[in-house]
Amino acid sequence: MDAHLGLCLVGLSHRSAAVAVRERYAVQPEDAPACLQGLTDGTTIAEAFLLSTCNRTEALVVAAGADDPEPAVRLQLFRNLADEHLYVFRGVHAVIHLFRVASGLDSLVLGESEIQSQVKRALEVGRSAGTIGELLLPLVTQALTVGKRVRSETEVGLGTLSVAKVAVDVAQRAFGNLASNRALVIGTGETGLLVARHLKSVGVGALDFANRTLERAQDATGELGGRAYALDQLPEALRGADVVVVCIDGGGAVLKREHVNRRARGGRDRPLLVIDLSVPRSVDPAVAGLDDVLLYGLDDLQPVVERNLRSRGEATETSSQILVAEVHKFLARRTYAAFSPAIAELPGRFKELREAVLDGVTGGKATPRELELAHELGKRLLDLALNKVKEGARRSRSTAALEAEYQRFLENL
Amino acid sequence: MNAFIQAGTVLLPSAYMLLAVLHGMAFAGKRAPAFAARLRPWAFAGTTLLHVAVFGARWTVAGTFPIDGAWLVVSATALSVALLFAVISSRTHHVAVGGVVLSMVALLQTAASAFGPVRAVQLPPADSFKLIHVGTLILAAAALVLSGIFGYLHLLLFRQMRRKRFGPLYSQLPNLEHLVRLTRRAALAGFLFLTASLNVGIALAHQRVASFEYTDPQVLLTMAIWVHFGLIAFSRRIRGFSARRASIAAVAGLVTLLITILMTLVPITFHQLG
Repeated sequence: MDAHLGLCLVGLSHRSAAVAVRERYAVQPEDAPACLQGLTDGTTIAEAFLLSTCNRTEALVVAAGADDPEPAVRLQLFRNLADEHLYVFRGVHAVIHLFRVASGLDSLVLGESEIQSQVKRALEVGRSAGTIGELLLPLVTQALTVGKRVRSETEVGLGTLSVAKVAVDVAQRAFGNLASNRALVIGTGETGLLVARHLKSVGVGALDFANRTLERAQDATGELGGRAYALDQLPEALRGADVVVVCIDGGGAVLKREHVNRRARGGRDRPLLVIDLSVPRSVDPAVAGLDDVLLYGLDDLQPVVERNLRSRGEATETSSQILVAEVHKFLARRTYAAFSPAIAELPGRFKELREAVLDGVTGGKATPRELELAHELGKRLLDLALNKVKEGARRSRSTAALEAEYQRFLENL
Repeated sequence: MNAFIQAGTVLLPSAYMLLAVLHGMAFAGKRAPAFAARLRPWAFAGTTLLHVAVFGARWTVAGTFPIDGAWLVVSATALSVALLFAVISSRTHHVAVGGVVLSMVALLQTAASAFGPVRAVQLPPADSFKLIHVGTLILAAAALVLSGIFGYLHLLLFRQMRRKRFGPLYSQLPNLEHLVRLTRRAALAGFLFLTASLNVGIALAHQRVASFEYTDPQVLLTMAIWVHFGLIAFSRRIRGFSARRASIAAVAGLVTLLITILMTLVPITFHQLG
C-alpha cells in the first residue's frame, strides 16, 4: 500500500523478546551516533532513526533506492538474532507503529510517559548524527505531537499502576503536597523502601523509619534521611506523624488502637492516615473505627490499580481514532510534498502563460486595466489549482481504508 | 427599568443553575464535554454581569442603596458568593467545587427571586452607616456561606475516603487539608466582616431603635454566629478542635446563618426587613 514511502522499521521489544535478549541488543547512548552512521554509510539507507530503551531497540530507516533496507539493519543492529524476536514493519505500518510507540500504547506499562522524552532524545541524536532527513524529521516530530495528543485527549496516561504509588496518592488527597507533613514507614523491606522513595519524590516534609531491627531502619535513613526507631519505640515514633505506612512481615498487629487513639495523638488537628501494605495485615482493624483516622489496606488499594489499568485499556480505543487521523494527515502531507517540485514551478508557468495570452490578445499594448485583470485572473486560477492539489492529497487515502489498515496492523501484533 | 429588573430576577435562578451544571460537569474529569469548559467563563461573566446590572437598575430606581429587605440581602449574598468563588477558583483551579458552590448560589437566588420584590421602588436616602452595616453583613454572609460549603465538602471527601470510594469526588475535590484551610479562612473573613457589621448595626440601633435590646432573638443569634465562626477561624489553635470538627461547626454555622436571615421575615425581632 505504501511501498513508495520507502519506510522500514526493524526492531525488538518486550513483545517479542525476553529481557536477556533485549539487554544483548540494546544500544548504549554513547554508541548510538556510530550505529546511525553505520546504517547510512551504505547505499541502501538514506535516513535512519534509532530508538533504544530498556524495553525496545528499533531502527526506522528510509530506503535510498529500490533495494530493501531490512538486511542492512539486521546486519548492523541485530546480527545473529533469531527471526522470532524481530518485527519488521513497512510503509504505513511503520508509521502506525512509531505513533503507537510515541503514545505509550506499545509500552510495557500502558501509557507510560517516559517514552516521549526517549523518542525526543533519539530524534536529537539522529539530527546531530545527520541521519534524519526530509522524511524522518516531520515523521518523528509528528509522532511526538501524536504522543502528546493521545496523552492529553484520552485517559491512557492517567491513573497510577503501582500500589505503592496509589498509597502516596491517597496521602496527597488527604494532605496536599505533603511538604508540611511527617510520614513514618514501619518496615524497611522492599515495599517499605519503595513507598518511602515515592514519598520522598513528592517532597514529604519529614520521613522516619521504624523496623524490627534498628540497624535496617538506620540503613534506610542512610539512604533517605530521617530518624530510625525500633518497634518498641513505636509510641514515640508515631508522635506527630500524619501518614503511617506499615509494610512489615511476620503477622500480628504491630500497630494497635492504643497507639493511635486520640490520647496518643495528643488532640491533633489533622486526621491520621494509616496504610497497611503488609500481608498478612499488621494493623489492628479496630484502628479504622477511630475518629479522624483513615485506614487503608492492600485490598482497598489494589482495586484502584486494576481500575486504572482497565481505564487505560479502554482509552486505547479512543487513541486509535487519533492515530488513524494523524496517519492520514502524515500521508496527505507526503503526497502533497511529492507534488512540491511541480507546485514550485506553477507560479512561473502561470505568469509565462498569462503574458503570452495577453500579448496575443492585445498585441503587446495592454492597458493598465487589462494588465490588472489578467494578473487577478492568473492569481485566482493559481490558488484554485493549489487548493485542488491539496484536496487531492487529502483525499488520496480514505480514512476508512486507513482504519482497516490499522485494524490489520493490530491483528498482526 | 422595572421590566428589566423583573426579567433579570426571573432569569437569574436559571442562569445560576446552568452555571452550576457547567461547573459540576468537571466532576467527570477528562470525560466532561469540551463545551462545558469553553462555556464556563462566558456563562459566569454573563450571569454575574446580569446580576450586577439588576442591582444597578434597582439602585437607579430607588435613587439610593437599594437593599432594604431580607430577600435582597439573600440575592446580594448569592452574588457575593459567586464573585468570591471566582476569586478563589482563579487561584486554586478546582473547577468542580463550583458545582456545589454555585448550586448553593442558585438556591439562594431562587429563594430571593421567588419571595423577594421583583419591582424596585423609590426609597428614602440611606446614610453611609446603613450602607456599611448592610454591605459588611452581605460580605460576611457570603464568606460564612463559603465556609459552610467548604466545611461540607471537607466532610463529604472525608466520608468518601473513609468508605474507600475513589470516585469523582475523590479525584476532583481539593484535598482535605486545602478544604479545611478554605473553611477556616472563609470563616475568618466572615468573622471580621461580621464584627464590623455588628458594631455599626448596634450603634445604629442604639441611635434609631427605641425598642432595641441585646436580648432580641436576632441579636443573640447573630452574636452566637459571630462567636461560632470566630471559634472556627481560630480552631487550629484550640486543642481538640480537629479539622473535622471545624467543618461540622462550619456547616452548622451556615444553617444557623440562613435561619437568622430568614428570622427578619417573622415578627419576633425588632429587625424587621421582610
